[in-house]
Amino acid sequence: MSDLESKRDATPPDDRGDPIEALLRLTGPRPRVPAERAERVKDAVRAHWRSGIEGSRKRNRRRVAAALAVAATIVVAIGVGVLRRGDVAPPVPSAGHVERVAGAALLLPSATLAAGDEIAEGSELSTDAGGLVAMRLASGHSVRLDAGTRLRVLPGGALALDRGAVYVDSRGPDGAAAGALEIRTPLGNVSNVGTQYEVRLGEASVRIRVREGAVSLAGAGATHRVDAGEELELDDAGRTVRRELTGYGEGWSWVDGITPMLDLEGRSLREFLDWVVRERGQRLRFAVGELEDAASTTTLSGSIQGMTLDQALESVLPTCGMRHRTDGDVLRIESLRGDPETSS
Amino acid sequence: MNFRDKSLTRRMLAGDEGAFDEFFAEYFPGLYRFAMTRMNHDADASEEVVQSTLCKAITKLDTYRGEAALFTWLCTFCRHEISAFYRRANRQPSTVDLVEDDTAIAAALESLWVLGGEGPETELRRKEVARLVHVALDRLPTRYADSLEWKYIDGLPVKEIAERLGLGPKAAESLLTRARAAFRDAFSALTGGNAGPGPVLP
Repeated sequence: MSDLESKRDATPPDDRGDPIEALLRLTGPRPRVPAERAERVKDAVRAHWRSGIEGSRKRNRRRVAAALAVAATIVVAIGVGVLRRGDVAPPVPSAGHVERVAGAALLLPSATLAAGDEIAEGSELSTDAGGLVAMRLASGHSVRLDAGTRLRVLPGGALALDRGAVYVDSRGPDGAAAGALEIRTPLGNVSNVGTQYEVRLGEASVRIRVREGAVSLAGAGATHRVDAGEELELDDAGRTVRRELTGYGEGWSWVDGITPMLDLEGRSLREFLDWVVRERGQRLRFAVGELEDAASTTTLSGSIQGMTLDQALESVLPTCGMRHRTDGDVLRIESLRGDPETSS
Repeated sequence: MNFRDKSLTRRMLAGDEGAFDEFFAEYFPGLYRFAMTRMNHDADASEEVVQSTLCKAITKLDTYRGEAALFTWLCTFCRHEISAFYRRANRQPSTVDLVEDDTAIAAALESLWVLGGEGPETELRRKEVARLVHVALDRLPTRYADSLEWKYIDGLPVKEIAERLGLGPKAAESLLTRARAAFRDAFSALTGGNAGPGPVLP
């Protein structure tokens, strides 16, 4: 029990209530800053910030120019040809950042990708046979690259899949949905109407698998809608094959391996479990109702960064007196002490 | 790692105007209140110090690693700027014993909870509790602090809070739950976890 909540019991019965509500009502809103002061400071600080950014851009231009000058000298020296040098391009906007990397992944042509790296518009990313990458686009989409994937981040926010597969989740950890995202492939363009799906490019086909929501694939002169629980394959002759799909299982396991972990601090156990089952395409069941109540009232503290979803479950649940069992697409939560055979 | 703060600073370093607006809206009011309480509520001096704080911090933005919350990082700059202000003015800062600077004061707060009644001493301590509540709110993400004020002070229904935040009702409920937990932690940390036996004030 928290300090504030434990102190509620010390108050007379008539005064009992939500201590946070009582405290906030008692103290009232924070004093507001006069608008004219805020505007004055904002203008001054913005001018300082812009001048810093401009200075940094000029330094970058000088560095690029110096590098181009060296390159030009080399080209002339070996007599290969003439280096055409126009104006140096302005810095490109950020399109997102890398959240997690497993194995080897490159920002082409040769920079090794690491968590926290900025992804600029126009970047080209590549994963090798064992590499996986999770990135968060500025638009809010979580995009995960499977092994053997090559992906370009186009100006304006669209993605171009040249090889391999990507998984897209357009809902953030707080449940807010990002807008539309277009993924271009040589066989057609995919745009999401909904939230969790995979686009895989084969030798002569593109395959869409939708876990949640719906996706539209425009290719070969037609537009195809793919709903949750469906898989659609379009080949280079324009033929389509539609199959039923489960949202959980081996076919999705690569996505589990690169899931960016939730920031646990202050969240309830129930929020954590809801996030896990959504990430895995499972359904949540509690062995008994008491566990469900406990999950809603248990607040978590700590970090699961760097873990897999299974490791996170194995770390978190025992500290709450619980364990989990996977039964097909059901994640069942049980008491560590064992439960009666009733389920909620 | 404070991913959200780190992401915001990255966007600012990339020249994103929207990120600058977000940064200013999120941190200026809290920093201004932070300075006001340490500068004897001198509004002009606080404005000067906060402007200088933000300019210095922006110049060093590329050194922010995301290990501390961005507001905490900015407060460090602000403390330096307040000291520098008084050095330049060849003045001593007014004596301010603030709980978030000196946890020994936390014990004194306890008496407030059992004191009750009226009188100058109670009034003074009520003001100090109010200041601590406001400091705790300022240390939360803006959405958390705003949603708590909207719900508990303005009495808005969750549906309206959800609309203001651009969330669904369920997500807003979830955010409020996290906001309450974060407020509890921040307030508890400020008072050394020793805020007394409960709000008995009217």
